[in-house]
Amino acid sequence: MLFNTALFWLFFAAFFVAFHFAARTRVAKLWLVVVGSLLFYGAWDVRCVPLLLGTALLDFWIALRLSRSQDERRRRALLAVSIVANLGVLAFFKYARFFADSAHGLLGVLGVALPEPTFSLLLPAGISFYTFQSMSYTIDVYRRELPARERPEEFLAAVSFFPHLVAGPIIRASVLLPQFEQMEAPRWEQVRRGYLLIAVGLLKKTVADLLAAPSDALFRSAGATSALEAWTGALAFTGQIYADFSGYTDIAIGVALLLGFVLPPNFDLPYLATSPIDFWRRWHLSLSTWLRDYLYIPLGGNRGHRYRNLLLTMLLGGLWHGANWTFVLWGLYHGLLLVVAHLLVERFPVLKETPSAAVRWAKRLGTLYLVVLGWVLFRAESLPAALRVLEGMHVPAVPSAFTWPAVLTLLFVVAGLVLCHAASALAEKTELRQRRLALWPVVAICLALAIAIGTPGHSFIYFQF
Amino acid sequence: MTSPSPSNDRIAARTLGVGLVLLLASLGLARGFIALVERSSPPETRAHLTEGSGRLVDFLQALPDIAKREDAVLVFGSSLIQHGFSPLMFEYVLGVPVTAYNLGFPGVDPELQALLARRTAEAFERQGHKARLSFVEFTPFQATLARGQAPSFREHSAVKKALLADPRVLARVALRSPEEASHLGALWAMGGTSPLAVTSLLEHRLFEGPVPPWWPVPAEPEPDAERKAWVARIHAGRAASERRHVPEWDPVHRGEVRWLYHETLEAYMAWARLRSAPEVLEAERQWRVETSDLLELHFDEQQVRFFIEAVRALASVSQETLVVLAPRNPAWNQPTAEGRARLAAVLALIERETGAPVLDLAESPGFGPEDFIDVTHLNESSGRPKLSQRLGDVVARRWFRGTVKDTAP
Repeated sequence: MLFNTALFWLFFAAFFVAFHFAARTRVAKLWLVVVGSLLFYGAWDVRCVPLLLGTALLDFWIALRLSRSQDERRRRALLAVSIVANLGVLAFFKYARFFADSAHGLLGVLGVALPEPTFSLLLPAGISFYTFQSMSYTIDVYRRELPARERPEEFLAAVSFFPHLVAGPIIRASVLLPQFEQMEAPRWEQVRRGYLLIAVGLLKKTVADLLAAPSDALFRSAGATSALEAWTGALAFTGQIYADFSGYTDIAIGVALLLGFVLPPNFDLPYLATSPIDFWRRWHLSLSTWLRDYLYIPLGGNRGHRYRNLLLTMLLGGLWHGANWTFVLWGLYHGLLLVVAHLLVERFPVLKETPSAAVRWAKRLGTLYLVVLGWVLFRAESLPAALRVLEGMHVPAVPSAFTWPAVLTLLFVVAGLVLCHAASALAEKTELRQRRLALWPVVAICLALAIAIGTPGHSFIYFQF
Repeated sequence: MTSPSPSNDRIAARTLGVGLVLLLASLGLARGFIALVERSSPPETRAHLTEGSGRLVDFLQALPDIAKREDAVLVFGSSLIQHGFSPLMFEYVLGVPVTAYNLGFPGVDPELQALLARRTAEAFERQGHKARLSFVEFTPFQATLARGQAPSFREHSAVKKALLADPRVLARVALRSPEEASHLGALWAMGGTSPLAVTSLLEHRLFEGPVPPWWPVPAEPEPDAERKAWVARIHAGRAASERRHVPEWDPVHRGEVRWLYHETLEAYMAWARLRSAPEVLEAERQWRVETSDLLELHFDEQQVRFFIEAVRALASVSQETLVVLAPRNPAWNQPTAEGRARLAAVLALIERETGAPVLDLAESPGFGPEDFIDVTHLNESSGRPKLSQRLGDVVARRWFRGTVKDTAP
């Protein structure tokens, strides 16, 4: 049940009516959220529901035990069970084949011939998101930053809450649980923002699907490419992944707002970042802050081995995205960028300053260039495929043919990139939602474009993670 | 916790109301935008990119008049019939006053055929009489598992289903797949135009249009340029010959799509030569194998059931019903032994379940590669007359015990 299908909106309309008009008590609303979310999740594959319920109930039970125990050894053991169970589930379903293939390859290099792994496992949708969300709850309770909930429905509702269940943002229990306690009705300003975000999100998804064609054309071809083709495809994917993921997030936040819940933002105009450090303060914020708080800081953070911690955090962040060495390389690449950026800023503090708009834009373009190179690693099926594209972008073996359709495609790709940022800025950085006369026509036009040229049911990229 | 209050309920109700108004407004805007795009596109491009949904709409408009005729001969099928059957030729060969109709539609899978057959049957039932005869063509590669998985085919099929589905059908689809049913409902609300068709039309206009004169780089020679030029000449000749707007399902020619006129003969033959060049056909066969399992023919049981439904629906309003297997291109479409066995089993099942005899022309010796325009479709110059004549012969033999005319008009 994807956000860009009629079925989801029928489901949401029914859920909205039941939530606001039928469920009259807090407990009834909580159970409705749980049942509705499981229904939403089960629409993908009903076999995945017990896994979601199982890991969430285990963490709920462990958190209860943690809150009732003062024995630190016992508490550490309980936390270890939670972490091992969550990461174990993630490792089994998402990485088992990857590890088996990698081990097979390594043993092959060492001269040990074993039969090639042939098994395949069902990858439950959103498993990377909900295991992180669930795990953060037990860690917060262990740290005594959050009291454990006595009743399961609050925690189950927070973990399974359908707007963010499948592709984030990764919402920590500490963000949603207080809202489920309060269960406040939405204010009209929230409703207006919600509708605007839904419309902008659907428009972004439409743009993402249009950008998929030039991107796929580049990454699916096997031969040498010209610079024009390579840059068009790489920029198309740069736009596609932002439009797709931030579009999903916008819709998720908008839908939650219509129900009265506020989810934190996940993006802040990332391609306007002026450095790699700035980029990670604007891209997939819920993941980067999660990794900071639950991995980087526990590893030691800025105290001692700072750059090792940073590299390790980014490497694991890359692996979180998918079971492929290209994701690991992408994480490592960004880790190295961050290390170099931090070293440069420490050595030359003047780099922090932006004396003029021209310097700011030069920094933005430089950062965007580095980010685009990273997306090539992220999108390519293999390292040789990524190298082929990178070669096409920098030392092409084939000359570019600047024919009208080819240049027009590049212009559309750039326009798509700009449009998505402009739409985000319009929704979140301007006073549009306060202006009734301007707001509703903008919402209707965005929705109309999404309806007329959107690709209903076209999956979101981050669902595979 | 804030307990539900009248003001909270008011906000929720207002949210719902605004949502409904937004939905209607955006649907209206979207339909206006689509109409604008469609109106500004050439009819041939529109027909090509919408895979025949316009033909279906035109047919549905003509259906009440067709159903009034007691001498109707309905020739149902896919694009194989659309391109392979001439009602006039059939009537001439048969030699008795019947009114034949070409009811072949591109991209119709058996589920769609069943919907179309039911809609047709309802039209005849309302008139209280039966058609004289129905042929129902079974297109094997439309009923394969692979065909059902190809996204573009599914979308084209969904648009036509949305045009034909009623609440009862939607409910039946919803039981099988709520997602598909809601998508059909959305397509219906969009007036039967898929966003896929809209983006294709926009892409066609933007990227296949003329290069601006000020652009310094000359366009790369288009591999298809010669073929497109001949097609343009055919359309021009057709327009000159018809001197009227020709709908996609043309009541004047009773559904036959004509490209071959005195004025277009040269262009048609030149186009046909390019279209049926071996390298073109090899690529097309490969595509058909990948998207439709052309040679192995692993059938989708559900689709076979739908075809049986279609035959039964038409049989209920026809004095006679025959299932037809259209001629196969002997040079380019030769299923494997397993594929043939699967097809034979399916045909036997259809015959057993419907009681309608199967007229298997797949291996008919009268048809050679020169009668085909591509891997699967008959051409208009020789294939279409041959099939029309053959069907006329078959009916004549059934009706008059061997009295058959054997000359072309």
